[in-house]
Amino acid sequence: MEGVRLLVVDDEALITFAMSRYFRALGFEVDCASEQAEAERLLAERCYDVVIADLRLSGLGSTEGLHVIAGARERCPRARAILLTSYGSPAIESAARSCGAAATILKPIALPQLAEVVSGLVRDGT
Amino acid sequence: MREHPDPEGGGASTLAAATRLGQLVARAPLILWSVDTEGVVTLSEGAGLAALGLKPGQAVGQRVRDQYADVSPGLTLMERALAGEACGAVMEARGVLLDVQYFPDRDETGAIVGATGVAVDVTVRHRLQEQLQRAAEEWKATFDAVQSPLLLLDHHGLVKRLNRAARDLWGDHPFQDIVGRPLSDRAGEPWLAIARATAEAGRTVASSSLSAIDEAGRTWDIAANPFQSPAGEPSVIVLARDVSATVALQQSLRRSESMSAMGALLAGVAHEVRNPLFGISSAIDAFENEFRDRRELVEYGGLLRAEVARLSTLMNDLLEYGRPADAPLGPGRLEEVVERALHSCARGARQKNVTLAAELAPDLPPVMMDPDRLVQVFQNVLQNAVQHTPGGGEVRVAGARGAAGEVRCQVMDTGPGVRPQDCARVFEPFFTRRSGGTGLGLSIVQRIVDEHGGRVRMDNRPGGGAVVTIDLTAAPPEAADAR
Repeated sequence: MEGVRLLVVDDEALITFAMSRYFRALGFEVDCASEQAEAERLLAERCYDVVIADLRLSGLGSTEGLHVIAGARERCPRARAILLTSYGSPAIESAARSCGAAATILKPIALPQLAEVVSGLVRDGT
Repeated sequence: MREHPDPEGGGASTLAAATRLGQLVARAPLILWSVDTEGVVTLSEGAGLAALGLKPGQAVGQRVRDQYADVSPGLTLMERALAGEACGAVMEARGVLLDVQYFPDRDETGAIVGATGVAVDVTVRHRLQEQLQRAAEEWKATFDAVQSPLLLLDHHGLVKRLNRAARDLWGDHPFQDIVGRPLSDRAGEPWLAIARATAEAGRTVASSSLSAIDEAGRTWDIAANPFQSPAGEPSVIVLARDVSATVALQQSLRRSESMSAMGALLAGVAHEVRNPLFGISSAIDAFENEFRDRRELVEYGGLLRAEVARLSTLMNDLLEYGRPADAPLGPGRLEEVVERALHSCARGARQKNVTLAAELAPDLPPVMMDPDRLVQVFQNVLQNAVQHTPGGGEVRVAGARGAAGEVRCQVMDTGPGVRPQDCARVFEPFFTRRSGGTGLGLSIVQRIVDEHGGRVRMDNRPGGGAVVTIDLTAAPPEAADAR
């Protein structure tokens, strides 16, 4: 996955740390954001191939992840997006689809498995 | 008829008195008549005759036996009076109810010379009496229809009246044995409470109420109301209601309320813990990926991963335990539920070399269920059974019609069984018999079976091993048809 650009958006520092280390080791170019504004600043600067966003970036009841995904798809239509959430529900999945997310993934997921999903999306998109 | 003594000694005044008497009788609402020894009418007077369709004097000279056979009940009285007996009866004649008195007429020697009868029209009075009696019977039936014990007492606590339910509560005595007895004859609750409430209402002349629990564990609500009887006697009316069912319902509601509050708390905690847990497992993934060539480091990863997996399972179980029942119950086939549960447990059983088997009766009725939740029940029970069964053993699911309107399922294993004192405790949260379990599996089972209105329990099988029995409500036939 050389040269594939990945943006990880999660307010949990350990998650962004682990994901960036993991995906960099696989050859991805990884940027991280811990909040919506930071993600939007990065999205304005460059186009990402894949965006992985956590649904909640500011605690219980928030849904910034959906806005990040919608914004990413708007600026860069070829970007593939994954919504990560610990609250699986049909309503959330349908909201994610309408924002342009290619997949909704329930936490926890093992990173090798997540990497497979990401690779699949990149292959489909090229 | 005897002549009245004439104070003035004059014949004129006697005549005047007789005339007045005649007028009085003619106007009086009664019938006055005399017969001779042959039963021939010698006198027939009184305004009451009109009701029989007769005029005063009309019957004079006629034989009662011939002319008035339709007034025949009176004939017997007449014969008795002519035989020397004063007698009377209430009888019906020509649609009129008459209270008849007959007595013999005697001359100075005492010889019977005829008989005299007096009849009063009691039709209206009798109808009123009947109405009164019917009303009394209706009241009695009404009070007896009240399913709660109802007592009327004087303010000393002596029973004046009671309904059937109160008599049954008193014990198997006839009503008349209880009336007039004091409440203090009865020991225990709810009688002590009834006596206290009666005394209180009698003393304060205000309603009083209290509750009591009797020996059988029933909860009684006692209400005593002071009452002035129409005769002016101060009395107390006591109503004792068995409110056990209501109390049980309230308790169950409180349980479910506290359960749903706890469920919300558990869900919140579990979600919040999942996030950092995901961070940790991600970090282990990245760590192992980066240092996979250094075996001594990979060992750390394995240990950490096992603990993270355990925490994840606990969080999932907590979420499941606290999850409120949201889907309505509908009729569903138990066969499918058991099939799905067996399928999901198959791998674990194979790994332990435990045989899974099912024998469900072919005539199993549909069961009211939330299918996904019920699959969880069987999955947990089966997993638990497999975990406690040594290799080479068997776990078997059986299903058959149970008590009326129920289906009974049993999951039997060939494990070591359970200590008798633990049978009830195995469903308590965090009670676990093996290391590595969360101790919530069977609590979740209990929770979901409760939501299904069913019952679950664990016992030891006579031949060894444990058996979990789950009783579920069969779908009513109309619901089953509507599928």
